[in-house]
Order: sequence, then C-alpha cells, then structure tokens
Amino acid sequence: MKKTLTFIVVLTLLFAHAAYAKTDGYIYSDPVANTYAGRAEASQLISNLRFTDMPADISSQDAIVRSGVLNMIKGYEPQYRPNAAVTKEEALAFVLRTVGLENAAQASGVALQATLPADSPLLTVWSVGYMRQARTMGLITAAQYTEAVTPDPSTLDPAVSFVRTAPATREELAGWLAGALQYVQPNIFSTTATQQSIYGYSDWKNIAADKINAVENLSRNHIMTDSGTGSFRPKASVTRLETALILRNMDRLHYDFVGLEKKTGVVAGLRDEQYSETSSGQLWGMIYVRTSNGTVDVLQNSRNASSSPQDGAADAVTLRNGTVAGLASLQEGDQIEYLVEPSTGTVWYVLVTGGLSNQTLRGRLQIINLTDGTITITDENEKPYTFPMAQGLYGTETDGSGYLMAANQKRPTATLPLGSLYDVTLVNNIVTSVTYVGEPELIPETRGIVTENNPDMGYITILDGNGREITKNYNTGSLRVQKTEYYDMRDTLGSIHSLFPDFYYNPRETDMRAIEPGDIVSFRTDPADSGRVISISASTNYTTRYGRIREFRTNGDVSTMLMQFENGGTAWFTVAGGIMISKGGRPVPTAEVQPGDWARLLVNQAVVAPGQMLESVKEITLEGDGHYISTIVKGKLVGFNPIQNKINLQDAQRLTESGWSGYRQIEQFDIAGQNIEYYYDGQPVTLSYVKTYLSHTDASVYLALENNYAGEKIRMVTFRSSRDELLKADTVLTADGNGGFNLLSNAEAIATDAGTIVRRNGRLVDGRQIIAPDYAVVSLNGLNTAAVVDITPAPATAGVMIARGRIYSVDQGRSFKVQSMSLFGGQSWSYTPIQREFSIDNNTLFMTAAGLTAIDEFIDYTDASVMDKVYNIVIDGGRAARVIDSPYVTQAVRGTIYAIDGNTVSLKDVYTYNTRNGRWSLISNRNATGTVTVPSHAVLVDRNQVVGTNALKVGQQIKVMTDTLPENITSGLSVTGYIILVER
Amino acid sequence: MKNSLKYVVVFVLASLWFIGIKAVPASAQIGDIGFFGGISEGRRLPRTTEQLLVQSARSNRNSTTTLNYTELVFLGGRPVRFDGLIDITVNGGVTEGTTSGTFTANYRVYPGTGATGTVTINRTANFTVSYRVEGSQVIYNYDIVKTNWRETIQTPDATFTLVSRQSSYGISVIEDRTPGVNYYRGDLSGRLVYTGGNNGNTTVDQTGSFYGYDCAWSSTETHRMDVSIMTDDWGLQYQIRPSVTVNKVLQYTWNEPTAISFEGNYKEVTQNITGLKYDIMIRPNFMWDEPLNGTANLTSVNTFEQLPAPDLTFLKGNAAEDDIRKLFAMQVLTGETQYYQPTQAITRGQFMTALAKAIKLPIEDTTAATGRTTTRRQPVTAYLFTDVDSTRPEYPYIMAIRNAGIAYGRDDGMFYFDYPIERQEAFVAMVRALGLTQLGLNPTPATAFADDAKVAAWAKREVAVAQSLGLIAPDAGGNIYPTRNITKGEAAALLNSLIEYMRNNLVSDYAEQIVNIIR
Repeated sequence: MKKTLTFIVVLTLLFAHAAYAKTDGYIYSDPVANTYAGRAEASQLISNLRFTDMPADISSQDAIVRSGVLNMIKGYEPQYRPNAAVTKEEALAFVLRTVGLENAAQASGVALQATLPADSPLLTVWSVGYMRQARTMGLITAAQYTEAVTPDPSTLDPAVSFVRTAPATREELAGWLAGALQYVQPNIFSTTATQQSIYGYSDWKNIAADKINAVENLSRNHIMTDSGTGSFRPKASVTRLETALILRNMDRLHYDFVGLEKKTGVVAGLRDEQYSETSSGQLWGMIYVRTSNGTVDVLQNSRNASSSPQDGAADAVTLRNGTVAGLASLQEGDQIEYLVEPSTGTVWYVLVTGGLSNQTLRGRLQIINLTDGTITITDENEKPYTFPMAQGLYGTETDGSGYLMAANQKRPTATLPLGSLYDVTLVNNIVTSVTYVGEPELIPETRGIVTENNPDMGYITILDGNGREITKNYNTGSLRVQKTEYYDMRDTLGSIHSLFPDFYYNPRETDMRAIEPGDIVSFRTDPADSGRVISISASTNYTTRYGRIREFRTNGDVSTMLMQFENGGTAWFTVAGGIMISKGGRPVPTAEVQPGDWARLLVNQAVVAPGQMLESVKEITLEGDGHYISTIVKGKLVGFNPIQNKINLQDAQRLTESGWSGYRQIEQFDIAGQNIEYYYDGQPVTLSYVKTYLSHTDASVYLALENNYAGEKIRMVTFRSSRDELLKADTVLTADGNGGFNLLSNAEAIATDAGTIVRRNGRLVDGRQIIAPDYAVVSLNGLNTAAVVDITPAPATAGVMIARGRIYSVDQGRSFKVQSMSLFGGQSWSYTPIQREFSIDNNTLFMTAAGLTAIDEFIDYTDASVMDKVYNIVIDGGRAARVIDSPYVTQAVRGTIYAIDGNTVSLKDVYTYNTRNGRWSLISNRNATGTVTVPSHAVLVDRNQVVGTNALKVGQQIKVMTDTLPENITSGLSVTGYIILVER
Repeated sequence: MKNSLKYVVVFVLASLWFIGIKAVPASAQIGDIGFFGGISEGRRLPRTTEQLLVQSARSNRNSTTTLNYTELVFLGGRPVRFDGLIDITVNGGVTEGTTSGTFTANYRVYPGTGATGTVTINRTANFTVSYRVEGSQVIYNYDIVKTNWRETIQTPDATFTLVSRQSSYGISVIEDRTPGVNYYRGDLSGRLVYTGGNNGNTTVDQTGSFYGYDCAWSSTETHRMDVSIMTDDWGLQYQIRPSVTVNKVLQYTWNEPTAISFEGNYKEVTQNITGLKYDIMIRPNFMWDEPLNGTANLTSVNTFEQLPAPDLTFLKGNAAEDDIRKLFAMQVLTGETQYYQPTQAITRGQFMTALAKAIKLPIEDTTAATGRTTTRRQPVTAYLFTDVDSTRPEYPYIMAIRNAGIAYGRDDGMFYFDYPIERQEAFVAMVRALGLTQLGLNPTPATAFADDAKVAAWAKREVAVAQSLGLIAPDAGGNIYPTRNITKGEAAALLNSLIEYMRNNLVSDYAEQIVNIIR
C-alpha cells in the first residue's frame, strides 16, 4: 500500500514541475554535462549567513555571503559588522587563505607549537602559524614577526611596532596580498611598464613607496580599488566588508587556488525526484541549468520528504534578491553564477544575478560551428553576432555530417542556405531555436484546397493550411488560370509563361471552370483589392483505388458503379460522361465496362469541409484478363496441404462448352491468394470450417480459378451436397434481376445463391448480373439451384464475311479488284456479278497451303501474276483481312470434337450434308466418327470472330466446309476443313 | 546511493558519441529477377529465428545466389520458353556512412546441368553499379561491362549471338529508405543487336521501368518493359511484365492430442509468387496464329517456421484474443502475456516498442557484444528523453523510433513514455512507419472525418493518409476520436492491420496492379 502511494507522489511531483520548462525545449533532453550535489554544511551556513546588518547593495551582499560560504570571514551572529576594522593578524590570515595557503599556515603553526614549552603563551595565539608562514613568504620581516608574536601585543606601541591586533591599513593589505599572489604564482602580474591605475587616485602620493607596485597591480586587476571614491586611502584601516569585496573581486584567481570553479548559466528547469529506499524516502530537487556555453548542469539538493523542503541534508547557499536561502529558492529563468568544487562534485554557492531574457533576432546565417556549438548571424549592417547554441539544437550523424533541429526534424547543416534570413531565438544569449525565414516575400500567395468554386457567381472558397476557410471573388474574364492535370508531365513550361507571355502555347492555361473542389490552388490577389483574385494556379489532388466492379449501370450519359475493394469494403461511384476509360492501354467506350471487371480508379477525394469528403471518379483503367475466371472445376475434396497452400481434388473435371470433361483422378489447386470465398450450400463458411467439416465430404466441390499471372489460383470454392446435373447450353429467357432466371428450353425457374459460381464473359459476377438473352451453360446442384452459370457470347458465325472472287487487277501493295464474287452464307455461296475493290496492307494475310506469302508477291505481272486466279477473301469492311488460296468448298460435315492432336481434329456424331436433298445424315449408327485435317490456311470462325487454327476445343460442335466428300461415306471419314464454323 | 548510481549511468551515456542513426542500409534485393524480362524465384525474407540470430546486422551481399530462372525468348518472332538458372553475384553494396561508391552486380543465365528444353540461353551480363546517397535516398546507376557481355540464345528457329559492340544497356534506380519500408523505382533501356537471325541482324530495343519495395513482411519487384524486335523482314512489339513477390502469412493449427501443454500455435509460411504476363501489340504476319498474350510462372515451395504458442487462456472469448495471439507469436509483443490486458490503456512507450518490432526497425545493440552481433554495432545515441531511463528494456526501441522519425516526444523534450497514447498519435506513427507521409497534402487543412476539429494540426496529414490507405476507418457517425486513448486490445488490432497492410496490400499495389494492367 505504502509503495503505491509513494509512486503516485513521484509522478505528481515530476510532472507538475516539468510543465514549466517552457523557456528551453531541450533542457531535459540534452545530455547532462555535470551534476553537482549540495553540501551537508550548507544548511548551517544558510542560517549563519542571514545577517541583520547586511548592506543594501547586491555586490556587497554577495561579497559577504560568498566570503562566508568560502569560510573566509565569519560573522558575529546575527550581525556581520561590515565596517569593523580588520586586524593585522586577521588580514594576514585572510591573505594566506585567499591564495590557498591556509593549510600551510596551519601546518606551520602546529610545527611551531610542537617546539614550544607547554606553558608558552604563544600557544594561545591563533594566528601564530599565519605569521610564521607570512615571514617565510617574505610578507613580513623577521623583526615584524618577532613583534607580531609577542604574547601580549598591548605592550607594544602601534606607532612603531608591528602590533598584530592593531588594524591593518589598506596599503598593508595590498602589499601582503600582492606579495602572496606573486609568491604562489610569480608571473601573476605582467610586468608594469607604466604605472597608470594609481594615478587615478587623488591620494596616490600617500601610498608608501614600497607598496606602490602592489597597489598598482591589485588596482589594475580590479582586486582592490578606490570603490569609486577617487581616493585610495592607503593609510585607512581595512574594513570587514572591504576584505569581503576584495575576495569577490579576486574571483577566479582565488577559486583556482582553492580548487573551486565559477560557472554561469540559467535555471531552465526544475524537477523533483524521489527515491524511497528506506521507509522515510528521499526527495531530490534537481535544478537544470543551461550553462553559458550551452551545456546542461544539474544542481541537486536533497530534502527529507517528510519534513519541510526548506532544510535538508545537502544544499548550497543561495543568494536571491537579498535573501540567503537554499537551492530550493531558485526559480526557472534565474540567471545564476554558481561556485562548484569539481573534485567533489559539489555546489557551494549560487548567486542569482538576474532574470530571464528572451529575444528573437532576425539575421542572415553565416556560420554554424558544430565544434564550438555556435551560430553566427549578421544584422542588416553585416555586423556578425555569434551565439552559443543549446546542445539539443545540433548534432552530428554517424557519417559525420551535422544537423540542426527545426520543428523537431533534423535538418542537415550542409543544406541550410547560408546568407538567408533566419529567426534566432535567444534565451539568455543561448540559441534555443533557429527558424528559416528565407528572403523577403515579393508576391504573397494564398494556398489551400478548393471546397467550392462558382465560376458563374465568380467566387472561390478554399481551406488554407491551418484549416481556415477563405473566400475570394474573381472576374472570370480578367483572371489568369493555370492548372496541372494529373496526366501532365511535370516538365511543362509552367512559370516560364509568366516571364514570356507570348509563348505560343501553354498547356497549363485554362479557365476557372477547370478548377474543382479538391484541387490545390495557389492564388494572388489584386494589390488594390485583397478580396479579388487576379491569378490562380491549380493542381489536381487525386488518389487511386483498386478493386472489382460489382455493378455498373449506365443511364444516359452518366453511369453508377459499385466497387468492391480488396479489404472487402464497397462504395458507389458516379461516373460522369466523358471520363476516360481505358483497357489494354487504349480508350474504350463505357459499354466495355462489365460487372466483374477489375479496375484501378483515379479518384478525387475532395474534402469540401472539415469532416466532409466528396469522392468522384476521374479515370477508370480496366484490367485485362488478370482476374478472369479461366477455369471452373468440379470434383470431390480429398485433402489440404496447408503449408504449401494447396487443395487436392478427386475426379476433377473442367467445365467446357459441352459440359464437364478432362477427367483427372487427382488434381492439385492453389489457395494461396487473398480473399478466397468459401461456401457450403450457398452459405459462406471459413477455411477452418472447410478444413474441419468438409475435408472428406461426399459433397461436390466447385472451384473458380482465376487467371493469375503466377499460375491459376482459386478465387471461389463452393460445396454442394446434392447431385450435379448439367443443362445444355441455352439462352436465358427471363431473369428476375435477383439471381433467378429461366432458360429457353427449360420451364423450371433456376435459382442462384451466394455460392453459385457465375462467370459472365470470363468475369466472376453474382447472380443478379444474369440477364436475358444471355447464353449460358448451367450446372445444377440441388433442386433447381445452379452451382455454376457460365455465360459466354452465343455461338454465331454470320458476322464474319467470307467471299470468293477472281482477281481482275492489283494495285500493288494497296488494293486489288475482283471482277465478280460469291459470298459465303454459312453453307452455300451466293454469286454477285459486281466488280469490287478491296484494300490490302501489311497486316493482310496472304495464305496458301504452303504458308504465308508476302504482300509484295501479290502482283499482276510476271509469271507469278495472280490475275484471274480465284481466292477466298475474309472481308473486314472495305479491307481484305485475309486473301487465301484455297479450294472452293461446297461440302459440309458437322460433328462434335472429342480429341485434338496437332492439326488433326477428331469428331464424333458426324453428320454429312447432302446437297442434293438438303438433309443432314449421320454417317454411322454405330461409330459416327471422323477426322478433320485443319491446314494452316483454314478459316475458323467462332462467335463472329476469325480465330486461330489452334483455338478449337474439345466439346465444341463444328461445321466443316470442304471441297469434296468420298463417294462412300463411312466411319472414319477424313476430310480437310478449309472453312470451319464453331456452332456451339 | 541509488541516486548517484543513476547519474553515473546517464553521464556515461552522454559522453558517448553524439550521433544520429540512419536506417540500416540493407542493399535492397534490387534486380533479383535480372533485367532481361525473365523471372526467378528471387526474393527471400529471413525467418524470424534467423533475424533474431543476426539481429539487425544485414550485411552487404557478397556471394553468388543461384536461382531457378525462366525467360520467354521472342527473338524468333514468337514466345518460346527457356527454363534454366541464373547466378546473381553482388560484390559489395552501399557502405554505411559513405555518400557514394561502387560495387558490382553480375548476372549469368545458363541452362544448368540436365536441362532438356529446346531453348537455351547463355548470357553473362556484368554491371558496375555506382551509387550516391542523398539523405534517405540512394541512386544506383548500372553500367554494363561491355568487355565480358556475352549472350548466345538457341531457339528452334535459330541461334542468336549478341554483338556487344553494337549493343548497350543502362539501368538507373532510385531507392527511398523509410523506417518500415524501402521503396524503389528503376528504369532500364537498352538496345541489343544479335546476329544469327534468318536475314541479317536482329535488333531488340527494350525500355521499361520497375518498382519494388522491401519490408519485414513482404517484398516485391515488378517490371513493365516494352520491347520491340526488328529484323529486315518483320517486326514484333510486346509488353512484358515479370514480377516476383515474397510474403509471410500466418496459419493457425489446433493440436490434435488433448493432453498437450498448449492448444495450438501459428506457423509463419513464407510464400513466393512469381510470374509474368505479356501482351503482343504488333507481330509478324507469320505468327498470326499465335495467341496475343500469355503468362509464365515459376512454382516454388513455401518455407515455414513454427511460432511460439503464448498462454492467452485468460483472454479466451475476448474480441482481441486473436490479434494479441498473433502479435505474441510474431514477437511483436514479448514478455509475459498476462501483463497485456486488452481492456487497459496502452502507453506511448509500449505502443512504440511494439511498433518498432512490428516493422522490424533495426535497433542499436546496447548489450554486451555476443556472437554475431559484434560486427556492426552502433554507439548509443546521446539523444535522451529525460523520462526514458536508459536502463529500461524499451529504451533502444524508443531511440530507434525517434531516430527513424516516427515519434519525437513532445515539446518539452520528454517522451511521456508511460502515458497513454492517443489514437491520433498511433495513426501518425503508423503512417510514418510506412514512410507514406508524402501521400498527404502538405499541409492538410482538413480530414474527411466528422470530428476533424479534434484532430491536431500536426496529425492531419498522416490521418488523411491513413484514411486514404484504408488503415483506419471511422465509426458509423464518421468519427475517429483522435484524442481518445487506445486499449491494448485495440492497439493489437491496429498493429495487426499495419502488418496486414505490409503483408498483402503492398503486394497488390506493386505486383497485381502492375502486371494485370497494360499501359
């Protein structure tokens, strides 16, 4: 229980204070260079140094407290008695202490005392060691020493003798101090060529000749001066305050002798931390100081958590606004001078010298010196200023390159533009932030995203970078508008046009009607009327979305489209007329978009107001057959290979135009893809369900395989528990738009469900996309429920025009004429005695039984002349797509393909056509098979297209046109097919 | 006593080098299907165990990788398939701390022993790769070494031999390294002249671009190359789009025995998806009977690895159970499971640590050198958040997060490590982890959410990106509650969605959507 409580206390304290660290953002994050703890004796010192007769001026106060802290001059509690005179022995002791010879003096005294008899009165003289040391150092003469150590000084005449208890004069002190300093450091004062300082004193002539140098040296170094009075008063007695001031003036000179260090800085953060190792717990006050060279020092004082924070075990004397207290009296922003003892890591004394100064300067950046941690800027007069930077503001990367922090981001110093304007924020002359300003702005522009544009009313509303709504007017006629469309290359001439307006064409030039919500614009306003836009530059701001088109309905010029994205989410889009739709790299009409297509949309996601988004389609790119269902398989599930993402099917058969075929006893399919749908009797199930309950079911499983570039992958798996029944390919008579439909030859209504595989022109769709008069192969499973509906274009061959004509003339490489021709009518030819011309080009195929010939060989001269020869011509409008040298075909054979081997196609159920009686007859009741040889120049027609000779598939019913039939038609009939029509 | 000790530690850290850290420059697997329109199994992702062994010290490749290779040869006017091997030897890579340099990348395509195909390719193509580093980006220029550029292709139609003197090939790649993903795009353009066709020289002009990325959960490279083949007699133009992908998916299996100490566990399955698609635009007349498009693919065998089975029995029935289980299995969450209570708030420190692990952000090793980690340790940065004690185990992750620019702490220099994270802070961190901040408007004035006013100005851009990427979605009222805190359960779901994005959505963007669409 107790522990929890303590924990809460820590947190509270830690963060309550931290919130104030506003002046220096890096104070807690910069590395701490030094930590100095308070001293145990501080609390006693603090109470001792609270004198009642403290002078009013700060420097005197500081001198007194400081000398107290340094243990130089003690007070007479509760008084200090600043004006009391200092005796000679006190003055000598003071001098020796200031130069760090206190210990030597003490030792000298002890050494002397050891030689003295036990009753020697000298044993009671406290200063005897100091005198002895002073004599050793030559500060006093041997004679003076003898007088000084007289046990009872009152027996001596102060006028002629060296009376140790008599007041010391100022020049005496000067002589001793200068002498002591030179003793410990012979070259401490540079040789004085001219004596100048003392001439400022009106009474300089009163200074004893042997003290002149000493006074000069101390005076010049501001250690001992006239205190602004104009006279040195060499013979006057030294006061206690004066000695304290001398010590203060000695400053670093003294600190060096005693191993102290004076530092300056700013209190930039205060934090308390608590440790509870014992039941009492210890609270540490942490004072974060930004030192004058940019580093961070921490001063810490300990307090007992349970007692008043004012007193504590370790602290430092702190003088703040005339009050002597502990470190806890420091406040953030205090400029401080502090004495520390590096050898012990302790802080002795802190003087608050002033408050926080905070200013921002604008100047041109000249130098960033990472070694020294300084930054140099110049003002408008090119006067340089160099400031130290807070440590967290800069640093060095692993590769040695430097960076500055700006807005919490690292900015490589090498890339900072030198000579540009920056705002430099100084907190007590330490740079805490550097902000790039750049050069003066010449033409102000406003930037934002358009939420509304009304060219008719002539106003535009944008949201600027801060989310503010800005509305401006414009005059459509006198406005300059430029816009970068999404398809524009980024190398259009752009602003060059502003400089050279006569340039003949600017692709970005447009008018305000081209600006739409969601665009990013940057505009300039009329200098005379800031509410009116005079020029505007815009760019689109589109994003892409990718998914499957679930529904696509066109109504007049506008289409609506339901998209399903990869994450399963759906969204309706309106597709305006004129939107670019492309497929295979070419623009296609809207009618080309079919449900089940996958597409990449270019979408304008316009945030028209905070929290309100308008999405509009800008471009549709239809995918090729990458997501088409290439294969539909039926079989029985026999198992999974989970690690390889495979599913094994037994008795696998593929759906062909004539039903299930291509039996394989066991076959493996890939379920690696994402978003595979699993169904059981029309209900969606998970893969885990399938693995657990359907792995070895007797149910039929139907797979829809996607034509993935990396191999066929399963897209949909549907289990059905009934028997499969395949219906003949037929035309859809009616469809209810909700998945139900009727076939022409089948009275029963057929239902579809979510698990029905519906393939419409290769694309996976749902049952609602079945419409009359689709031509479909349906496989039922369950009572009038379709497991598979495969919709393809109805077989038809009438769309392909084949003619046979006699060449009349050839315009080489361009066209040829036939003097008459017959048109192929599906089985017979109809003659038209009309001359006709067909153009030819490099894509026209000139075919013979031997292969292709070149267009250059189709000529009407030389031995190779084609004049009067007869050709079959596949007509493509006014153009000849193929010119084929093949026989005149009048005999017809019909059959269903059961095997294909190279260019030999085996047919079953073979009928031949009797041209005489116009009847088809089965060639054999027992074995009505035959073979068709397909030469390379045969014309194959399937679904109104001329297809390749290898496009025939098992299961197709074809009609074969050939030139002759044998007299006796029997099983094993063999013909050559010159024109082959796929009938179903 | 404890107090002084603490300061000794801080002092030591502070006196180490003051250094910023860049993402570890693992030379991405650029060009691991070659640049010739073929496909190899390419790509690999280290298994988690391997990653733990090697830590972040992914060194430059310096060895030869031999991969199955398939290429369609169109030189005779129609596509014929070659199946063989490709040796890829990369000597060197981008050396850390340098701003420019060179290394070599050598490709050798050959049938391999026991090859039976009717098509053979013997090709040696060595590149000198010079690179330069510009901030987070690296530019690579591949220059072919002409002196040993050799190619002989045998097809049923003819044998073609490259005339290297008349041929040229250039590739230039730009790679951008973000905390979680290295993205790159390259362009290639070359002219290859062959002798041995039926009539004079055969000239092949190929120009294209390729895109790829590399992250902890998937890696993809896809080319789109337009090729025209010209002979004196005929011409052929086609576009070929080869692609190679590897990604890691999780599979859970329940144990069959009842008396087993854990109910089941996840396996991590690494699967390759390799294939190409081509579309013929113009073809010689004599090929009129050939299909105009087609695909080729290489099947590869998935590798897999068991993942630990954390004890999450205390979560049974919780909505976040599976998310948390996955994260523990993937070591995104570590330690004892019962400290991860799904209803409790997640702190900034906890979320950022998990995020760093989720994107496998390389961290600095602050521990003593052991084993293989000695090779490339970086000194501890001196950038300290005062409230993130360097002795905390999460410390290196927070430093990595900070150095990667995913989160910077707040203005007063503290990280607020142990404070609950706000939803918007998490969203921003996720988008920055993906390196996709640039998809958002700068600045973004407003987002599409009903409570847009509550989204902090610094978060709007990334929040808009997260919405457009589908990483976040509003509730029925259109709100995303940007300033609310996140439970540990929600955090698990968020991190899983980020991993899902890296595992699947990126693949679709870089593979399927390029391969399936002709441009």
